[in-house]
Amino acid sequence: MTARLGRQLLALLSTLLGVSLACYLLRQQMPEQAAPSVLGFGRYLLDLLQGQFGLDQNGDAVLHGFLAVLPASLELLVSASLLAVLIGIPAGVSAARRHQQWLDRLVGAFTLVGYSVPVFWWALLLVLWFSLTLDWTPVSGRISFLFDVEARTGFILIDTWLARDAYALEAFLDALRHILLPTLVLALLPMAMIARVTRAAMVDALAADYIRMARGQGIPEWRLVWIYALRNASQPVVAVLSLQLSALITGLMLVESIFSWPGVGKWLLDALSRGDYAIVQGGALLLAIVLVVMNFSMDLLRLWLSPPERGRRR
Amino acid sequence: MNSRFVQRFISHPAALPALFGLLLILLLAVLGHALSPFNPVLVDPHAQLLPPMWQAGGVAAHPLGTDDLGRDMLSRLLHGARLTMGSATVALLLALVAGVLLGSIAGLAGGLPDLLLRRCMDVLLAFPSILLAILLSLAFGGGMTACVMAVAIALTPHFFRVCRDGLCEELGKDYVSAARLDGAGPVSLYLQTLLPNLAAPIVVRGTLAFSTAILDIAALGYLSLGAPAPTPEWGNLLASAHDFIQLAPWTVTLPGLAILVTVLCANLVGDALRDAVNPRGANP
Repeated sequence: MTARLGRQLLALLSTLLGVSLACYLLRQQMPEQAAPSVLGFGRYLLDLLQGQFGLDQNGDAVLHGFLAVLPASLELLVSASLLAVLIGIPAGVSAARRHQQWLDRLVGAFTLVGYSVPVFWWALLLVLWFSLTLDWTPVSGRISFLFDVEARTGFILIDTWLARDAYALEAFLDALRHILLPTLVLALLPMAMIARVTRAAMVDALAADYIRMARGQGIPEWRLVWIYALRNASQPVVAVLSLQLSALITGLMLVESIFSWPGVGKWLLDALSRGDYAIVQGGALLLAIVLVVMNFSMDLLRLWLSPPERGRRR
Repeated sequence: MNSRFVQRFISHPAALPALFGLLLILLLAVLGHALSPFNPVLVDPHAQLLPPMWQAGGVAAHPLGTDDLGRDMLSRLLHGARLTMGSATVALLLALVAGVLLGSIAGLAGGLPDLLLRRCMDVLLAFPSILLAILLSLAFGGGMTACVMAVAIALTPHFFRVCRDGLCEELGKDYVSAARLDGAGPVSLYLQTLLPNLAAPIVVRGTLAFSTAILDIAALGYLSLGAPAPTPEWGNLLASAHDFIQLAPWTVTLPGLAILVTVLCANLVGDALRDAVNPRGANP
């Protein structure tokens, strides 16, 4: 287990090194930069290790700007992932239990459409229906400008909850209504993915011998399905998710740009259109680092989920 | 391509309609120039924001209506099919060649090259296609080339993984040892024994990657990171229609529907192919 963990950590470090090398090489392609050199890369790495990711046009550190917008992105990512898991896993499990019946086909059709819908188009349609026609939800932003919420954690749902003044509840509900549409849009792809992989893995798991044996022993059916089979089916789900993480981040950046959600994606795209290249380069590297770390934690989760792989060499 | 495989593919209920749909869309994309009634960038001040012909106020000359500058939607969609699917195909082929080449090297060589290449692919996986497009447009200037490159690079790790993992699995099997004992050299072992067995999973991955490529290219066009503004790329069409969403909903729904139908057909064909290749259909 320790050797396995050490190998994973080594892989993490080398990937991080590769990511910064890629960013360095791309940066040196800019017109006014010197040709890439080993010494230059060493200096660049040293700067990174000291937390210096460059200065933006106003002279502020890019790292500070990134940390200021990161919570908004994480909030959206977490709420979308929660929704995707809460709907995707039960949908996949129930489809697998009724293999080849109408529910299975319904879930199959839904996942296929979820895979195929362009995220930005889906967002525009939802805005057209819910915001412009029905006027149920706001079009953009995180909270109405009427509320002045003190930023303690950076997560607006927690901050409005912590505010504890006379309008705390209104502010919380307002923030909830703001996050509703972006969450629905962003959750569609991971929801379809989770439902599909869960279904396939559960069909296999439910047909396995250990399930028939456990059924013969009189273990209740819900326990068989939701504990025994699901635990073994969860590993491919995590594997597929970690491969699709970058697709999720692409969706996140699109959603942020459409709903003017003040997160990392909008920050990067705004900086690009402003011509603030230091933010784009430093921010892209930081975002890539976040992705590598998320991938790493997914790998750890998969390791933890699969007992036989804990001691085995890859 | 044996007949059992074709039979399994056809027995999938949605496979043939989706295949014909995809072929029809490809045909429309190829013939787009000849079929479109108007020049896609022709501005007509007398025909602004005309609805499609089945709605009140629509005219038969513009069957799918016009946009805010009076440009014919049907012509723009047809030209867009060529642009979007053409660049998606180029990106897909680039990723396929690079992924299969690197995957073969990693799978056959093993050891240190394998390790290094796998790390490189992990690095690529850390850059989503939008992020890559942003960085490439900074370094080499924006436009379609940077967009296609970004999508191709983002797709490469998927092909690499299919090819490398497939090779590792096949190399341990008996028929490979038999061919080796028969005196097959490394080149003929690879080309005649191993590659035919890898072709099926690579083709399946390719069909599914085609839909990803279309979605990515349209997304980059929507964020104006891809083709420049007046080009009728499908994502560009959506971006320019964004401000008229209430006034002229068809300018938003039609390009989106075009993307949805194309990607849906590609995904259905990909699913049917995968089920035909791997009847158990367990791994996604």
